Amino acid sequence: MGSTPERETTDDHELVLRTKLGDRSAFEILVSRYQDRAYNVAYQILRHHEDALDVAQEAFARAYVSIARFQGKAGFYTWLYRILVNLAIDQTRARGRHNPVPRDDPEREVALREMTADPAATLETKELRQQIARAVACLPADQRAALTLREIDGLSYQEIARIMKCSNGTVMSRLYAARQKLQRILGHYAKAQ
Amino acid sequence: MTTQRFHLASGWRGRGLVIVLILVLLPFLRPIHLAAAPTVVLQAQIFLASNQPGAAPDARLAGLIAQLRKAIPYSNFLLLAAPSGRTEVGKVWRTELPGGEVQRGRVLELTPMAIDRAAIQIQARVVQARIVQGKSVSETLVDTTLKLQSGGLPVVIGGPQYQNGVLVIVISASAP
Amino acid sequence: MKALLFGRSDCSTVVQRLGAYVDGQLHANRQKQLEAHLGDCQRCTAELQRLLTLRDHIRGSLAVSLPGEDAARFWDNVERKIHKAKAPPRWGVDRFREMFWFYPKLWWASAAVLGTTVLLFTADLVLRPSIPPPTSLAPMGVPPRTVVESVEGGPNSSVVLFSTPDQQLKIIWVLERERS
Repeated sequence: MGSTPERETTDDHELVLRTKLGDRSAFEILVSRYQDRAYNVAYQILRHHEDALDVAQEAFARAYVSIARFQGKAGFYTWLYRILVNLAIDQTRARGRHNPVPRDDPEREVALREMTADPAATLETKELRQQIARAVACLPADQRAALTLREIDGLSYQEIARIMKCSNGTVMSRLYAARQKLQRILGHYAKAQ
Repeated sequence: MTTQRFHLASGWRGRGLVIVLILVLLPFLRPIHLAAAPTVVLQAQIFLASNQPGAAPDARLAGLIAQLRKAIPYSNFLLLAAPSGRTEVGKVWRTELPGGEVQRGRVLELTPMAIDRAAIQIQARVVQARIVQGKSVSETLVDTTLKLQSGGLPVVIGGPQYQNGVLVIVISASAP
Repeated sequence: MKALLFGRSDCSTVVQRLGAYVDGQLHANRQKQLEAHLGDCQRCTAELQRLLTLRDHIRGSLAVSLPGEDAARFWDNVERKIHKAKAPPRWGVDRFREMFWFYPKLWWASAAVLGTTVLLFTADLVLRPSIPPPTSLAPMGVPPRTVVESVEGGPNSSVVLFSTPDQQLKIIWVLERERS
Protein backbone atom coordinates (compact mmCIF):
# COMPACT_ATOMS: atom_id res chain seq x y z
CA MET A 1 0.00 0.00 0.00
CA GLY A 2 2.55 2.50 -1.01
CA SER A 3 5.45 2.86 1.35
CA THR A 4 7.58 -0.01 2.52
CA PRO A 5 6.83 -1.37 5.94
CA GLU A 6 10.19 -0.31 7.27
CA ARG A 7 9.83 3.27 6.16
CA GLU A 8 6.29 3.34 7.37
CA THR A 9 7.34 2.02 10.75
CA THR A 10 10.09 4.58 11.13
CA ASP A 11 7.79 7.37 10.10
CA ASP A 12 5.06 6.04 12.34
CA HIS A 13 7.29 6.16 15.40
CA GLU A 14 8.26 9.73 14.68
CA LEU A 15 4.68 10.73 14.04
CA VAL A 16 3.54 9.03 17.22
CA LEU A 17 6.21 10.82 19.19
CA ARG A 18 5.16 14.16 17.74
CA THR A 19 1.56 13.35 18.53
CA LYS A 20 2.48 12.62 22.11
CA LEU A 21 4.13 16.01 22.25
CA GLY A 22 0.88 17.61 21.17
CA ASP A 23 1.34 17.89 17.42
CA ARG A 24 -2.09 17.01 16.12
CA SER A 25 -1.02 17.45 12.51
CA ALA A 26 1.32 14.48 12.97
CA PHE A 27 -1.66 12.40 13.95
CA GLU A 28 -3.54 13.67 10.92
CA ILE A 29 -0.81 12.18 8.77
CA LEU A 30 -1.19 8.85 10.53
CA VAL A 31 -4.92 9.01 9.97
CA SER A 32 -4.58 9.72 6.27
CA ARG A 33 -2.04 6.91 5.99
CA TYR A 34 -4.27 4.28 7.54
CA GLN A 35 -7.83 5.45 7.08
CA ASP A 36 -8.43 3.37 3.96
CA ARG A 37 -7.12 0.20 5.55
CA ALA A 38 -8.94 0.90 8.77
CA TYR A 39 -12.20 1.45 6.95
CA ASN A 40 -11.67 -1.72 4.94
CA VAL A 41 -11.07 -3.86 8.00
CA ALA A 42 -14.04 -2.32 9.78
CA TYR A 43 -16.21 -2.80 6.73
CA GLN A 44 -15.33 -6.46 6.29
CA ILE A 45 -16.25 -7.10 9.90
CA LEU A 46 -19.36 -4.96 10.04
CA ARG A 47 -20.51 -5.21 6.42
CA HIS A 48 -22.15 -1.83 6.71
CA HIS A 49 -20.72 1.36 5.29
CA GLU A 50 -21.95 3.86 7.85
CA ASP A 51 -21.09 1.64 10.78
CA ALA A 52 -17.65 0.90 9.37
CA LEU A 53 -16.98 4.59 8.84
CA ASP A 54 -18.04 5.45 12.34
CA VAL A 55 -16.07 2.64 13.93
CA ALA A 56 -12.94 3.49 11.95
CA GLN A 57 -13.15 7.14 12.98
CA GLU A 58 -13.88 6.16 16.56
CA ALA A 59 -10.84 3.90 16.59
CA PHE A 60 -8.59 6.74 15.49
CA ALA A 61 -10.11 9.08 18.05
CA ARG A 62 -9.54 6.59 20.83
CA ALA A 63 -6.02 5.97 19.62
CA TYR A 64 -5.35 9.69 19.82
CA VAL A 65 -6.87 10.10 23.25
CA SER A 66 -4.86 7.19 24.62
CA ILE A 67 -1.68 7.83 22.66
CA ALA A 68 0.25 8.23 25.88
CA ARG A 69 -0.40 4.55 26.60
CA PHE A 70 1.14 3.45 23.32
CA GLN A 71 4.58 2.21 24.17
CA GLY A 72 5.80 1.47 20.69
CA LYS A 73 6.56 -2.20 21.25
CA ALA A 74 4.38 -3.09 18.29
CA GLY A 75 3.75 -0.94 15.25
CA PHE A 76 1.26 1.88 15.44
CA TYR A 77 -1.03 0.18 12.94
CA THR A 78 -1.01 -3.04 15.02
CA TRP A 79 -2.07 -1.04 18.03
CA LEU A 80 -4.65 0.89 16.02
CA TYR A 81 -6.01 -2.28 14.49
CA ARG A 82 -6.40 -3.81 17.93
CA ILE A 83 -8.64 -0.93 18.96
CA LEU A 84 -10.43 -1.07 15.65
CA VAL A 85 -11.04 -4.82 15.54
CA ASN A 86 -12.25 -4.89 19.14
CA LEU A 87 -14.61 -2.00 18.48
CA ALA A 88 -15.94 -3.61 15.35
CA ILE A 89 -16.43 -7.02 16.93
CA ASP A 90 -18.11 -5.41 19.93
CA GLN A 91 -20.40 -3.66 17.52
CA THR A 92 -21.36 -6.91 15.81
CA ARG A 93 -22.13 -8.50 19.15
CA ALA A 94 -24.21 -5.53 20.13
CA ARG A 95 -26.11 -5.84 16.93
CA GLY A 96 -26.47 -9.56 17.56
CA ARG A 97 -25.94 -10.41 13.99
CA HIS A 98 -23.77 -13.09 12.55
CA ASN A 99 -24.57 -12.44 8.95
CA PRO A 100 -24.64 -8.71 8.69
CA VAL A 101 -25.41 -8.02 5.08
CA PRO A 102 -27.72 -5.12 5.57
CA ARG A 103 -30.16 -4.66 2.79
CA ASP A 104 -29.40 -1.01 2.50
CA ASP A 105 -25.70 -1.50 2.35
CA PRO A 106 -24.26 -0.09 -0.82
CA GLU A 107 -21.45 -2.62 -0.66
CA ARG A 108 -21.02 -0.85 -3.83
CA GLU A 109 -21.00 -4.26 -5.29
CA VAL A 110 -23.11 -6.41 -3.16
CA ALA A 111 -26.62 -7.33 -4.04
CA LEU A 112 -28.07 -10.49 -2.79
CA ARG A 113 -28.59 -12.69 -5.73
CA GLU A 114 -30.02 -16.07 -5.97
CA MET A 115 -27.50 -18.63 -6.90
CA THR A 116 -28.59 -20.12 -10.16
CA ALA A 117 -28.96 -23.77 -10.37
CA ASP A 118 -26.82 -23.87 -13.40
CA PRO A 119 -24.14 -21.24 -13.03
CA ALA A 120 -22.18 -20.18 -16.01
CA ALA A 121 -18.76 -21.76 -16.38
CA THR A 122 -17.22 -18.39 -15.55
CA LEU A 123 -18.96 -15.63 -13.71
CA GLU A 124 -18.69 -11.98 -14.45
CA THR A 125 -16.18 -10.52 -12.07
CA LYS A 126 -18.84 -8.40 -10.48
CA GLU A 127 -21.10 -11.34 -9.80
CA LEU A 128 -18.22 -13.38 -8.44
CA ARG A 129 -17.24 -10.60 -6.12
CA GLN A 130 -20.80 -10.30 -4.97
CA GLN A 131 -20.95 -13.98 -4.21
CA ILE A 132 -17.69 -13.89 -2.34
CA ALA A 133 -18.76 -10.82 -0.41
CA ARG A 134 -21.99 -12.57 0.50
CA ALA A 135 -20.05 -15.65 1.55
CA VAL A 136 -17.67 -13.59 3.66
CA ALA A 137 -20.63 -11.89 5.27
CA CYS A 138 -21.81 -15.31 6.41
CA LEU A 139 -18.65 -15.88 8.40
CA PRO A 140 -18.45 -15.17 12.13
CA ALA A 141 -16.98 -11.75 12.92
CA ASP A 142 -13.68 -13.08 14.27
CA GLN A 143 -13.10 -15.17 11.15
CA ARG A 144 -13.94 -12.21 8.95
CA ALA A 145 -11.52 -10.07 10.91
CA ALA A 146 -8.70 -12.63 10.61
CA LEU A 147 -9.35 -13.12 6.91
CA THR A 148 -9.34 -9.39 6.20
CA LEU A 149 -6.19 -8.75 8.16
CA ARG A 150 -4.46 -11.59 6.34
CA GLU A 151 -5.75 -11.19 2.79
CA ILE A 152 -6.08 -7.42 2.55
CA ASP A 153 -3.47 -6.13 4.94
CA GLY A 154 -1.09 -9.01 4.43
CA LEU A 155 -0.34 -9.20 8.14
CA SER A 156 1.54 -12.14 9.56
CA TYR A 157 -0.13 -14.60 11.89
CA GLN A 158 1.83 -13.11 14.75
CA GLU A 159 0.64 -9.61 13.98
CA ILE A 160 -2.93 -10.79 13.63
CA ALA A 161 -2.63 -12.66 16.92
CA ARG A 162 -1.46 -9.48 18.65
CA ILE A 163 -4.28 -7.47 17.19
CA MET A 164 -6.95 -10.00 18.03
CA LYS A 165 -5.39 -10.93 21.36
CA CYS A 166 -5.21 -14.60 20.59
CA SER A 167 -2.57 -17.19 19.83
CA ASN A 168 -0.98 -17.95 16.46
CA GLY A 169 -2.73 -21.28 16.52
CA THR A 170 -6.08 -19.58 16.94
CA VAL A 171 -5.35 -17.33 13.98
CA MET A 172 -4.43 -20.36 11.91
CA SER A 173 -7.58 -22.22 12.86
CA ARG A 174 -9.78 -19.18 12.21
CA LEU A 175 -8.31 -18.72 8.77
CA TYR A 176 -8.64 -22.40 8.03
CA ALA A 177 -12.24 -22.45 9.16
CA ALA A 178 -13.03 -19.30 7.18
CA ARG A 179 -11.49 -20.65 4.00
CA GLN A 180 -13.21 -24.00 4.38
CA LYS A 181 -16.56 -22.30 4.79
CA LEU A 182 -15.98 -20.05 1.82
CA GLN A 183 -15.07 -23.02 -0.31
CA ARG A 184 -18.22 -24.80 0.68
CA ILE A 185 -20.40 -21.73 0.11
CA LEU A 186 -18.81 -20.82 -3.16
CA GLY A 187 -19.01 -24.37 -4.28
CA HIS A 188 -17.69 -24.88 -7.71
CA TYR A 189 -16.72 -21.22 -8.13
CA ALA A 190 -13.56 -21.93 -6.19
CA LYS A 191 -12.60 -24.93 -8.20
CA ALA A 192 -9.36 -24.82 -9.97
CA GLN A 193 -9.75 -23.39 -13.44
CA MET B 1 -24.84 5.18 14.71
CA THR B 2 -24.22 5.00 18.37
CA THR B 3 -21.22 2.85 18.87
CA GLN B 4 -22.02 0.16 21.35
CA ARG B 5 -18.82 0.50 23.23
CA PHE B 6 -19.17 -1.49 26.25
CA HIS B 7 -19.36 -5.21 26.47
CA LEU B 8 -19.12 -7.27 29.57
CA ALA B 9 -18.45 -10.27 27.42
CA SER B 10 -14.78 -9.50 27.05
CA GLY B 11 -13.95 -13.14 27.09
CA TRP B 12 -13.87 -16.02 29.43
CA ARG B 13 -10.53 -14.91 30.74
CA GLY B 14 -12.12 -11.94 32.47
CA ARG B 15 -14.84 -14.02 34.04
CA GLY B 16 -12.40 -16.70 35.04
CA LEU B 17 -10.24 -14.12 36.75
CA VAL B 18 -13.15 -13.02 38.88
CA ILE B 19 -14.16 -16.54 39.79
CA VAL B 20 -10.61 -17.48 40.70
CA LEU B 21 -10.26 -14.31 42.75
CA ILE B 22 -13.39 -15.02 44.73
CA LEU B 23 -12.50 -18.68 45.25
CA VAL B 24 -9.04 -17.74 46.45
CA LEU B 25 -10.41 -15.20 48.90
CA LEU B 26 -13.19 -17.41 50.28
CA PRO B 27 -11.05 -19.51 52.62
CA PHE B 28 -9.60 -16.39 54.11
CA LEU B 29 -12.87 -14.76 55.00
CA ARG B 30 -12.83 -15.68 58.67
CA PRO B 31 -9.19 -15.00 59.30
CA ILE B 32 -9.54 -11.70 57.54
CA HIS B 33 -12.48 -10.95 59.75
CA LEU B 34 -10.54 -11.86 62.87
CA ALA B 35 -7.32 -10.22 61.85
CA ALA B 36 -9.05 -6.89 61.76
CA ALA B 37 -9.44 -6.65 65.63
CA PRO B 38 -10.29 -9.23 68.24
CA THR B 39 -13.85 -8.68 69.30
CA VAL B 40 -15.98 -10.06 72.04
CA VAL B 41 -19.70 -10.57 72.02
CA LEU B 42 -21.27 -9.61 75.33
CA GLN B 43 -24.71 -10.12 76.74
CA ALA B 44 -26.40 -9.00 79.90
CA GLN B 45 -29.73 -10.38 81.08
CA ILE B 46 -31.23 -7.90 83.53
CA PHE B 47 -33.77 -9.30 86.00
CA LEU B 48 -35.82 -7.66 88.71
CA ALA B 49 -35.68 -10.00 91.67
CA SER B 50 -38.45 -9.46 94.19
CA ASN B 51 -40.89 -11.25 96.38
CA GLN B 52 -43.85 -9.70 94.70
CA PRO B 53 -46.02 -12.15 92.89
CA GLY B 54 -45.80 -11.65 89.19
CA ALA B 55 -46.53 -13.25 85.87
CA ALA B 56 -45.04 -16.64 85.16
CA PRO B 57 -41.55 -16.27 83.76
CA ASP B 58 -40.65 -17.11 80.19
CA ALA B 59 -40.44 -20.89 79.89
CA ARG B 60 -37.02 -20.59 78.29
CA LEU B 61 -35.71 -18.91 81.44
CA ALA B 62 -37.23 -21.37 83.89
CA GLY B 63 -34.02 -23.30 84.36
CA LEU B 64 -31.96 -20.17 84.84
CA ILE B 65 -34.41 -18.70 87.30
CA ALA B 66 -34.57 -21.92 89.25
CA GLN B 67 -30.82 -21.78 89.66
CA LEU B 68 -30.93 -18.13 90.70
CA ARG B 69 -33.58 -18.87 93.31
CA LYS B 70 -31.28 -21.36 94.97
CA ALA B 71 -28.64 -18.73 95.55
CA ILE B 72 -30.62 -15.52 95.73
CA PRO B 73 -33.49 -15.35 98.25
CA TYR B 74 -36.18 -13.93 96.01
CA SER B 75 -39.23 -15.68 94.74
CA ASN B 76 -39.87 -13.77 91.56
CA PHE B 77 -37.50 -12.99 88.70
CA LEU B 78 -38.75 -10.76 85.98
CA LEU B 79 -36.62 -10.30 82.88
CA LEU B 80 -36.48 -6.57 82.22
CA ALA B 81 -34.03 -6.47 79.31
CA ALA B 82 -31.41 -8.57 77.55
CA PRO B 83 -29.09 -6.20 75.74
CA SER B 84 -26.16 -7.60 73.80
CA GLY B 85 -23.38 -6.16 71.76
CA ARG B 86 -19.96 -6.62 70.30
CA THR B 87 -16.89 -4.71 71.21
CA GLU B 88 -13.21 -4.86 70.56
CA VAL B 89 -10.75 -5.86 73.24
CA GLY B 90 -9.87 -2.78 75.24
CA LYS B 91 -13.05 -0.92 74.39
CA VAL B 92 -15.97 -0.37 76.71
CA TRP B 93 -19.43 -1.67 76.06
CA ARG B 94 -22.12 0.12 78.01
CA THR B 95 -25.75 -0.59 78.66
CA GLU B 96 -28.24 1.25 80.78
CA LEU B 97 -29.57 -0.29 83.92
CA PRO B 98 -32.89 0.66 85.42
CA GLY B 99 -33.02 2.49 88.72
CA GLY B 100 -30.70 4.92 90.45
CA GLU B 101 -31.25 8.45 91.67
CA VAL B 102 -30.79 10.00 88.28
CA GLN B 103 -32.86 8.88 85.37
CA ARG B 104 -30.71 6.89 82.99
CA GLY B 105 -27.91 7.35 85.41
CA ARG B 106 -27.14 3.73 86.12
CA VAL B 107 -24.88 1.98 83.69
CA LEU B 108 -23.25 -1.41 83.31
CA GLU B 109 -19.81 -1.16 81.74
CA LEU B 110 -18.07 -4.23 80.37
CA THR B 111 -14.55 -4.00 78.99
CA PRO B 112 -12.89 -7.07 77.49
CA MET B 113 -9.28 -6.83 78.57
CA ALA B 114 -7.77 -9.90 76.95
CA ILE B 115 -8.60 -13.14 75.25
CA ASP B 116 -6.53 -16.12 76.26
CA ARG B 117 -7.61 -19.11 74.25
CA ALA B 118 -11.19 -19.63 75.39
CA ALA B 119 -10.97 -17.44 78.46
CA ILE B 120 -12.00 -13.82 78.25
CA GLN B 121 -10.81 -11.40 80.87
CA ILE B 122 -13.45 -8.73 81.45
CA GLN B 123 -13.66 -5.73 83.68
CA ALA B 124 -17.22 -5.20 84.82
CA ARG B 125 -18.41 -2.05 86.53
CA VAL B 126 -21.76 -0.84 87.66
CA VAL B 127 -21.77 2.91 87.85
CA GLN B 128 -24.58 5.17 88.88
CA ALA B 129 -25.14 8.86 89.14
CA ARG B 130 -26.03 10.45 92.46
CA ILE B 131 -27.11 13.92 93.36
CA VAL B 132 -24.65 15.41 95.79
CA GLN B 133 -25.25 18.99 96.88
CA GLY B 134 -27.34 19.64 93.84
CA LYS B 135 -24.84 18.16 91.40
CA SER B 136 -24.79 14.86 89.59
CA VAL B 137 -21.87 12.75 90.65
CA SER B 138 -20.94 9.40 89.19
CA GLU B 139 -20.04 6.70 91.66
CA THR B 140 -19.05 3.10 91.29
CA LEU B 141 -21.18 0.44 92.88
CA VAL B 142 -18.95 -2.47 91.98
CA ASP B 143 -15.76 -2.89 90.04
CA THR B 144 -14.66 -6.43 89.29
CA THR B 145 -12.27 -8.22 86.97
CA LEU B 146 -13.46 -11.60 85.82
CA LYS B 147 -12.31 -14.38 83.62
CA LEU B 148 -15.20 -15.98 81.77
CA GLN B 149 -15.09 -18.96 79.49
CA SER B 150 -16.06 -18.07 75.97
CA GLY B 151 -19.60 -19.31 75.55
CA GLY B 152 -19.42 -20.84 78.98
CA LEU B 153 -21.10 -20.17 82.33
CA PRO B 154 -22.03 -16.59 83.08
CA VAL B 155 -21.33 -14.54 86.14
CA VAL B 156 -24.02 -12.81 88.16
CA ILE B 157 -23.89 -9.34 89.64
CA GLY B 158 -26.83 -8.52 91.83
CA GLY B 159 -28.05 -6.24 94.51
CA PRO B 160 -28.59 -2.68 93.20
CA GLN B 161 -31.95 -1.45 94.44
CA TYR B 162 -34.77 -1.10 91.97
CA GLN B 163 -38.46 -0.58 92.65
CA ASN B 164 -39.59 -3.23 95.13
CA GLY B 165 -36.65 -5.52 94.62
CA VAL B 166 -33.09 -5.65 93.34
CA LEU B 167 -31.44 -5.98 90.01
CA VAL B 168 -29.80 -9.27 89.07
CA ILE B 169 -27.54 -9.07 86.04
CA VAL B 170 -26.42 -12.27 84.33
CA ILE B 171 -23.33 -11.56 82.23
CA SER B 172 -21.95 -13.86 79.54
CA ALA B 173 -19.31 -13.46 76.88
CA SER B 174 -18.06 -15.13 73.78
CA ALA B 175 -15.08 -14.57 71.54
CA PRO B 176 -15.97 -15.51 67.95
CA MET C 1 13.52 -42.23 -2.02
CA LYS C 2 11.78 -39.13 -0.91
CA ALA C 3 11.72 -38.53 2.76
CA LEU C 4 8.11 -37.99 3.66
CA LEU C 5 7.11 -36.45 6.98
CA PHE C 6 3.55 -36.67 5.87
CA GLY C 7 2.57 -40.07 4.63
CA ARG C 8 -0.38 -40.75 2.40
CA SER C 9 -2.62 -41.09 5.42
CA ASP C 10 -1.63 -37.59 6.59
CA CYS C 11 -3.46 -35.73 3.86
CA SER C 12 -5.96 -34.25 6.32
CA THR C 13 -3.06 -32.80 8.31
CA VAL C 14 -1.48 -31.41 5.16
CA VAL C 15 -4.75 -29.84 4.03
CA GLN C 16 -5.05 -28.12 7.40
CA ARG C 17 -1.59 -26.67 6.97
CA LEU C 18 -2.04 -25.56 3.36
CA GLY C 19 -3.44 -22.21 4.47
CA ALA C 20 -0.37 -21.48 6.59
CA TYR C 21 1.78 -22.68 3.70
CA VAL C 22 0.32 -20.28 1.15
CA ASP C 23 0.49 -17.54 3.78
CA GLY C 24 4.19 -18.24 4.19
CA GLN C 25 3.80 -18.91 7.87
CA LEU C 26 5.26 -22.37 8.10
CA HIS C 27 8.72 -23.04 9.47
CA ALA C 28 11.28 -23.83 6.83
CA ASN C 29 11.55 -27.51 7.75
CA ARG C 30 7.82 -28.02 7.83
CA GLN C 31 7.49 -26.20 4.55
CA LYS C 32 10.00 -28.51 2.87
CA GLN C 33 8.27 -31.56 4.18
CA LEU C 34 4.90 -30.33 3.04
CA GLU C 35 6.26 -29.57 -0.42
CA ALA C 36 7.70 -33.03 -0.55
CA HIS C 37 4.27 -34.45 0.20
CA LEU C 38 2.64 -32.25 -2.40
CA GLY C 39 5.07 -33.55 -4.98
CA ASP C 40 3.74 -36.99 -4.34
CA CYS C 41 0.06 -36.40 -3.67
CA GLN C 42 -2.30 -35.27 -6.41
CA ARG C 43 -5.20 -34.84 -4.06
CA CYS C 44 -3.40 -32.37 -1.83
CA THR C 45 -1.97 -30.59 -4.86
CA ALA C 46 -5.49 -30.10 -6.21
CA GLU C 47 -6.56 -28.82 -2.83
CA LEU C 48 -3.68 -26.34 -2.92
CA GLN C 49 -4.81 -25.07 -6.29
CA ARG C 50 -8.33 -24.58 -5.02
CA LEU C 51 -7.00 -22.65 -2.08
CA LEU C 52 -4.86 -20.41 -4.27
CA THR C 53 -7.81 -19.69 -6.55
CA LEU C 54 -10.00 -18.94 -3.57
CA ARG C 55 -7.38 -16.61 -2.17
CA ASP C 56 -7.24 -14.68 -5.41
CA HIS C 57 -11.01 -14.35 -5.48
CA ILE C 58 -11.09 -13.25 -1.85
CA ARG C 59 -8.42 -10.64 -2.37
CA GLY C 60 -10.15 -9.32 -5.41
CA SER C 61 -13.45 -8.93 -3.66
CA LEU C 62 -12.52 -7.86 -0.17
CA ALA C 63 -10.71 -4.66 -1.03
CA VAL C 64 -13.22 -1.87 -0.53
CA SER C 65 -12.17 1.72 -0.88
CA LEU C 66 -13.30 4.62 1.14
CA PRO C 67 -15.53 6.77 -1.06
CA GLY C 68 -14.02 10.11 -1.98
CA GLU C 69 -16.47 12.22 -0.01
CA ASP C 70 -16.05 10.15 3.11
CA ALA C 71 -12.28 10.14 2.71
CA ALA C 72 -12.25 13.92 2.53
CA ARG C 73 -14.33 14.30 5.69
CA PHE C 74 -12.63 11.48 7.57
CA TRP C 75 -10.13 13.59 9.49
CA ASP C 76 -12.74 16.19 10.38
CA ASN C 77 -14.94 13.52 11.89
CA VAL C 78 -12.00 12.05 13.78
CA GLU C 79 -11.21 15.50 15.17
CA ARG C 80 -14.79 15.93 16.22
CA LYS C 81 -14.68 12.64 18.10
CA ILE C 82 -11.37 13.57 19.70
CA HIS C 83 -12.82 16.85 20.87
CA LYS C 84 -15.82 15.07 22.31
CA ALA C 85 -13.59 12.53 24.02
CA LYS C 86 -11.39 15.24 25.48
CA ALA C 87 -14.29 17.29 26.79
CA PRO C 88 -14.16 18.20 30.48
CA PRO C 89 -14.72 15.19 32.63
CA ARG C 90 -18.29 14.15 32.64
CA TRP C 91 -19.24 11.94 35.46
CA GLY C 92 -22.26 10.56 33.78
CA VAL C 93 -22.78 7.15 32.33
CA ASP C 94 -20.83 7.95 29.15
CA ARG C 95 -17.74 8.93 31.08
CA PHE C 96 -17.75 5.71 33.01
CA ARG C 97 -18.33 3.74 29.86
CA GLU C 98 -15.29 5.35 28.27
CA MET C 99 -13.15 4.71 31.29
CA PHE C 100 -14.17 1.12 31.50
CA TRP C 101 -13.81 0.57 27.76
CA PHE C 102 -10.09 1.21 27.95
CA TYR C 103 -9.80 -1.03 30.92
CA PRO C 104 -12.38 -3.73 30.39
CA LYS C 105 -10.90 -5.69 33.22
CA LEU C 106 -11.76 -2.72 35.45
CA TRP C 107 -15.31 -3.97 35.32
CA TRP C 108 -14.24 -7.36 36.50
CA ALA C 109 -11.95 -5.90 39.15
CA SER C 110 -14.77 -3.68 40.41
CA ALA C 111 -17.16 -6.59 40.40
CA ALA C 112 -14.61 -8.69 42.27
CA VAL C 113 -14.05 -5.99 44.90
CA LEU C 114 -17.78 -5.46 45.32
CA GLY C 115 -18.45 -9.16 45.47
CA THR C 116 -15.70 -9.70 48.00
CA THR C 117 -16.96 -6.83 50.14
CA VAL C 118 -20.47 -8.25 50.10
CA LEU C 119 -19.12 -11.70 50.92
CA LEU C 120 -17.05 -10.39 53.81
CA PHE C 121 -19.97 -8.43 55.17
CA THR C 122 -22.30 -11.37 54.80
CA ALA C 123 -19.77 -13.74 56.30
CA ASP C 124 -19.38 -11.42 59.26
CA LEU C 125 -23.10 -11.48 59.89
CA VAL C 126 -23.49 -15.19 59.27
CA LEU C 127 -20.42 -16.36 61.10
CA ARG C 128 -20.88 -14.11 64.08
CA PRO C 129 -22.06 -16.39 66.77
CA SER C 130 -25.15 -15.30 68.57
CA ILE C 131 -25.03 -16.27 72.16
CA PRO C 132 -28.28 -17.87 73.12
CA PRO C 133 -29.29 -16.52 76.48
CA PRO C 134 -28.21 -18.98 79.08
CA THR C 135 -31.36 -20.85 80.01
CA SER C 136 -29.68 -22.89 82.60
CA LEU C 137 -26.86 -22.46 84.97
CA ALA C 138 -26.02 -26.12 84.68
CA PRO C 139 -22.72 -26.82 83.04
CA MET C 140 -23.06 -26.43 79.31
CA GLY C 141 -20.43 -28.96 78.55
CA VAL C 142 -17.81 -26.47 79.69
CA PRO C 143 -15.99 -26.93 82.94
CA PRO C 144 -17.01 -24.11 85.29
CA ARG C 145 -13.91 -22.02 85.38
CA THR C 146 -15.31 -18.57 85.90
CA VAL C 147 -12.72 -16.76 87.93
CA VAL C 148 -13.27 -13.57 89.84
CA GLU C 149 -9.82 -12.07 89.81
CA SER C 150 -10.69 -8.98 91.80
CA VAL C 151 -13.75 -7.24 93.13
CA GLU C 152 -14.38 -4.12 95.12
CA GLY C 153 -17.28 -1.96 96.05
CA GLY C 154 -17.68 1.76 95.80
CA PRO C 155 -17.68 4.61 98.29
CA ASN C 156 -21.27 3.82 99.19
CA SER C 157 -21.41 0.12 98.60
CA SER C 158 -19.82 -3.09 99.63
CA VAL C 159 -19.69 -6.41 97.85
CA VAL C 160 -20.00 -10.02 98.80
CA LEU C 161 -18.74 -12.86 96.66
CA PHE C 162 -20.36 -16.27 96.84
CA SER C 163 -21.32 -19.22 94.71
CA THR C 164 -24.43 -21.24 94.06
CA PRO C 165 -24.77 -24.41 96.14
CA ASP C 166 -23.43 -26.55 93.29
CA GLN C 167 -20.44 -24.21 92.99
CA GLN C 168 -21.24 -23.67 89.33
CA LEU C 169 -21.95 -20.00 89.46
CA LYS C 170 -20.13 -17.05 90.90
CA ILE C 171 -22.32 -14.31 92.29
CA ILE C 172 -21.14 -10.84 93.16
CA TRP C 173 -23.63 -9.18 95.45
CA VAL C 174 -23.69 -5.44 95.87
CA LEU C 175 -24.89 -4.04 99.18
CA GLU C 176 -25.72 -0.38 98.91
CA ARG C 177 -25.30 1.58 102.12
CA GLU C 178 -28.28 3.35 103.53
CA ARG C 179 -28.00 6.98 102.76
CA SER C 180 -28.84 9.34 105.49
